[in-house]
Amino acid sequence: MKRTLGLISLALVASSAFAQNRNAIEVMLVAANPEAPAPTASWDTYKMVKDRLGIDLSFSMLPPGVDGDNKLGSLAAANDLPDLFEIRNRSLFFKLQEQGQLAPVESILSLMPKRTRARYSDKKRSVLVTVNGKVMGLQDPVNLSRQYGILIRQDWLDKLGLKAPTTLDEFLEVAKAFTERDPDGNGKKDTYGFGGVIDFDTAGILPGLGLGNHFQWVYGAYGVAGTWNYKAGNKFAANVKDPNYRKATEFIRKMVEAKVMDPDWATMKRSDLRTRWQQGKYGMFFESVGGLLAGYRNFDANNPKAEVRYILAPKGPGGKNATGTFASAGWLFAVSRKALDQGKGPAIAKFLEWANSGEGYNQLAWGKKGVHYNLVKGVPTVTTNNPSERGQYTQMRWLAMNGNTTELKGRYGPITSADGRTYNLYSDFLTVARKSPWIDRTGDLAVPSAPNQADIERYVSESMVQFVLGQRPLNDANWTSFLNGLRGVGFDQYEQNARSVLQKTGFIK
Amino acid sequence: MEDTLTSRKPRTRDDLLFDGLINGILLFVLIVTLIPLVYVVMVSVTPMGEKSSLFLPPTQWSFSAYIELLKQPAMLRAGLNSVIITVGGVLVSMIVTVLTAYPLSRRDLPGRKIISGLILFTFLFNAGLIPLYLVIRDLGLINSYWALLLNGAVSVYNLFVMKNFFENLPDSLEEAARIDGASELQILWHIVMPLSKPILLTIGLFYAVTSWNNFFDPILFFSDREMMPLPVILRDILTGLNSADYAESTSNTTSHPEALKMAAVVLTTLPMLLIYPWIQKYFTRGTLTGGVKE
Repeated sequence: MKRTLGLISLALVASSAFAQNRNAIEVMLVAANPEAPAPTASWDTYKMVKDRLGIDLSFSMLPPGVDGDNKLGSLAAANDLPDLFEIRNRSLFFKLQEQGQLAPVESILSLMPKRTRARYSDKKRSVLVTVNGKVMGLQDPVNLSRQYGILIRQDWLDKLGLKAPTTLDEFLEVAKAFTERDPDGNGKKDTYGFGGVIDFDTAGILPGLGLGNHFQWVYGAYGVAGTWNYKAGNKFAANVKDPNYRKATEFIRKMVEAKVMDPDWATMKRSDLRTRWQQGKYGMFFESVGGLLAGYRNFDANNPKAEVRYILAPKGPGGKNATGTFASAGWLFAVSRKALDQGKGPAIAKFLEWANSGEGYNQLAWGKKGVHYNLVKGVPTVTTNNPSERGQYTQMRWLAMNGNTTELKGRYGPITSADGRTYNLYSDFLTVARKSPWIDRTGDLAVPSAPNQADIERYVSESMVQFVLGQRPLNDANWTSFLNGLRGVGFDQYEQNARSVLQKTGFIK
Repeated sequence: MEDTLTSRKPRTRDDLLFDGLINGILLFVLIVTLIPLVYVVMVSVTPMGEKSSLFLPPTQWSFSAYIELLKQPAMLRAGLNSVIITVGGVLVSMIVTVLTAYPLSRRDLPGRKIISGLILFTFLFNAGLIPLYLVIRDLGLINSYWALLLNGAVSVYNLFVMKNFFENLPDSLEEAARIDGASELQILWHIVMPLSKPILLTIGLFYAVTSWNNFFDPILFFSDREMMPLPVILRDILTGLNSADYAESTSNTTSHPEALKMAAVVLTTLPMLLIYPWIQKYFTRGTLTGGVKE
């Protein structure tokens, strides 16, 4: 009975609740902390938004990945899209735009001057979401990128009397020593020089074609990091066609031949890599600051005297180096046309402006002051006594966070080992990992996927794996046949398309 | 029935060979099906730092992955949601399926063929996701458990299986009841139901497993995370524990990442697995033992 009553009242509520209240906005974002629950109905942010801005905020979470895309698709078909929502899949963004589901955001941009100046005034980024001269989305700058780098076990270097490598040749020498000279002193040959896996995750960096994020620095040393070379005119081409691309691949082959990598590297996942560096199996490994921070306690417990730090990406024969390529564009938010038609534009702008800085920023990005974070010399510093509650509290943080230095300082403060040694992660990250050149390739996001994008990526990736594992000898004949095979997957069309889009959008001359 | 099973005929060599062959094949099938399951359980108890293998000595087992998952604040609530969805789903589905299958099994029902045909049509042609979403939304069932209980309350396949079962019940039983003055509902409740226990439990279990494993519908129809069932929450927890790239607290896991995944698999399948043995006997029992002396 109660159920039935509930059902009837629910139906009534559903039909009347959104009776065009201009100050009621529905926001739907992918959970910032998927392992934590959603904010409760009594979340004091709701009250704060109501008191300060006069807005009735309702927030719901979108599942990550394909399920989230499907959900957005169904909502769109039912003309039920939330007022403000996040899209992580660019092709879905353009599909919704074609269907007329998205609102042009110019009118909203002018109502939130501070946020627009800080986040939406970069031409390079707005071009990514501009269709027929109209800006159709809120393309935030990336708030955490280039957060990866090569980490090295300083204690192993000291023990073996070695210096951190600065060139590829030195890198190989150090890696060999870490593999063969028992740096952990346990009498077993169970360590490896370098830990990396084939990973195409795009958490703030672009993996390019081939072996993914963890090996981009090798290609960077030969000046061919990333998918395209961004040279103007007829010189524009995919890096994979550059002779240097083969040289970089040959270097990785050398690493495999020298057995300085985990024999499982080609089939391992990122989580396996994390498990193993935490166990102290690797002398050098590719990792993000977040991954390092999250795994540090475990690592410290397994290796009580260990010391890790970031090193600059090693230089190639031509003196070039790069850790990888990245895009300056981060999260993408959109406003539904329905919301704009119902006159909710000003309320959305007001809320976003509030989330951009000051009180709103602190509330969404850091949580409750004194409970989830404290201000230490003006830097919001996370208190770690209740990560799950903080996670629940900051599920909307990607609307607020901006990646400025204060924020990074707060997020990546010093870590202390069990025996009291302090490692200043933030400064290391900023002075080393970020200094190590990263190549801005924001334009890559403007290039539409080829119809058979997956085939192209798989073809290049599988060929490279065969070459570096020695399943296919790396000789002229085989390399030529690999390059010829690119035609078979329609690569030339993809390349021409990329070139014309990049020229049109002004990313190349 | 009993006699043929227990009578001892002298067994020839061919008989033995045949039995051995059958047993061998069945044993092989058993091993092939068991290995993946054993592997899942083994990986789930692998401690941090160990390579997972099929044969891990019990002394090395670590249940930290289970503890870690069960410690998550959202878990209990999600488990309760799953129970609500499953129990509710089975009740609604069974009532509707029985009340549809029984009349359709009676040969004297007018328009029986047409009704069956219409039901079969929905089995062959599916409208797809978006019309379904529109219907649920327009009924005002978004963020209500009824969205899951009513959508797919009847599985056409299960309905026809049940209908065929009812058709095979001897008419003489009902005639006898009718002569004694029983109404249609009384006949269904007192005569047909008790005789149909095996099929009811079998179909009930099918419905239970379907409801329990329902993953995408809750995502589609619920925006309130408090309502999400176990599979959805476990997926989110695993996503969170495996993506440290944006994390900045030491919220990271202290268990083997693969162990966490497999522990999640075990936790979601276990409740359904525990029901099976309890219903097992009805799967194999003969459908009718006497009832009417012809």
